[in-house]
Amino acid sequence: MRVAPKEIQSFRDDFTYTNSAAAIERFPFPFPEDEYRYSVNIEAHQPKGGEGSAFEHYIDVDEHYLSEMAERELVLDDMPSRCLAMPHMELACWDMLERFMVSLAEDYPEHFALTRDGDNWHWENKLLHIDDHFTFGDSTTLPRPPLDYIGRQVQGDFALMDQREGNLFMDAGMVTCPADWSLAFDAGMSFDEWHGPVPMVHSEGIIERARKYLMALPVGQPVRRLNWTLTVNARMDTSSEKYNEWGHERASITPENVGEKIYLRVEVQVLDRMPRSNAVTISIRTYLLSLEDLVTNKAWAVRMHRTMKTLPQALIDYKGLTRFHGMVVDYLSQFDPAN
Amino acid sequence: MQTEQVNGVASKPVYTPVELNPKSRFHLFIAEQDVPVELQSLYDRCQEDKAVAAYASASDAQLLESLVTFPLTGTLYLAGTEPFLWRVASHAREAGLCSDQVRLLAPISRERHLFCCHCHTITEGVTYSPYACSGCGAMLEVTDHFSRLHGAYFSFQANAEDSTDMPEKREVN
Repeated sequence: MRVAPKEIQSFRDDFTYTNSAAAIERFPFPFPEDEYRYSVNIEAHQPKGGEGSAFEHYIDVDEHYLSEMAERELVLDDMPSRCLAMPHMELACWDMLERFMVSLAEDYPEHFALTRDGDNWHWENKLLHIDDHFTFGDSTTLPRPPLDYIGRQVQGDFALMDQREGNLFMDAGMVTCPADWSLAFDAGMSFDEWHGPVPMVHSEGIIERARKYLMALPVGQPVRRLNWTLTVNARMDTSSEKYNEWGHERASITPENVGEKIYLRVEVQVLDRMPRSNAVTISIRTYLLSLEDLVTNKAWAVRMHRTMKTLPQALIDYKGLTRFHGMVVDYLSQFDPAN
Repeated sequence: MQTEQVNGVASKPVYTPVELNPKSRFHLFIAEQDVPVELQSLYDRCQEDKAVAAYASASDAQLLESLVTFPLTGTLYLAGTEPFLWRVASHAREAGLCSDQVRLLAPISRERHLFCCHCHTITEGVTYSPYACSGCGAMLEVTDHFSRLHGAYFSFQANAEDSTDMPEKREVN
């Protein structure tokens, strides 16, 4: 069953965000094995899991669409610098706009429509009541620059990487729901540099292999990988910018509230070569699921317990789980018959 | 300009000893203020067409303008503080110089510029952590995550998770 967008819920303050039973069922659970290890876990971004799956389409529009778009507006109103595009990335931004509009209109004709007559385009987003005519490639004909325009209509964060000098440089992006990083700081960095703080991956050669793989990524053959962390409360904007506002929540976990307040935060990252600019677009789509909801799936509960229990200390610290990791393992252990 | 891993953070620059570029026919030596011994020694050893410039009197705009006509066979040697090195290096990149044409001597001071991730202000002259942000006043934990664009290190509020838990003061290098 396909999940239709529902009324707006909040990812801050009163945290009214919930997952329906259908949303829990389609949650992109990220652990293929009992023991978690880093790997270049990349696969072709092809449909998987059938109708209603989070991997049915190029872009997944789910029941949280309106909520996430409303949250994005709040973040951008507060800090417009969460969206930036260096001047040489203009073409890449148009590439991305085209890729997103075409796939949304093809995959969700009930919500989106695109009509193209040469460079004269007509875009309709019925979910957000947007109806605009513009000239493709001419930013003055859009209400906002192309990345800012389309980024406010698609769930997930976006980073656009310019390819030059044997590397990939993050020279544009819209980042309003990151797992503790700052686009403003990381802007302009090479692939290796912006992964600088990630432990273990450099000595294991993972970053270098991933970079080489991405630099050879052909047009029309997008790939995806999953990443994950744990977040306290259903907070989308766990940016570094706001760490001074949400950091204290990490100290709010008790054995009594751990199941309700800790969310498994999964990122489905899609990497796609842009046809005109040769840039690589990274879409980072975030899904949140409370441990309480997660353990309703018995197989996930067992797997989650074992991956958390065997997590290396360096990753526990890097992912910011140190204050509550033990309580998470204890909570999950009751669902694992091996204990 | 290597980016080997130091203290677990690959973005922290590693400065290796600088040699004259044997492929170059023109060498420009720029010092932020006083010419340090290492730069002087490179200059003295250089037999090719060479020039030396002290930056103190030049504005960024003037520098960028002079780099526009920089010869394709030229190499730039920079000496100064770390933010200066990367600022000029970034001008050089904008002007089309490749990385082999820009050689950075080790910074003359261990003072860091600090980028506050909360208010995006850059605080100068930082030698220890935590350090008060000159913008929002937060006590910032200094990291080794370095941005060449900002010429600054990443920092975040040190006691955000527990306001009573301020880390002990430590020197950074």
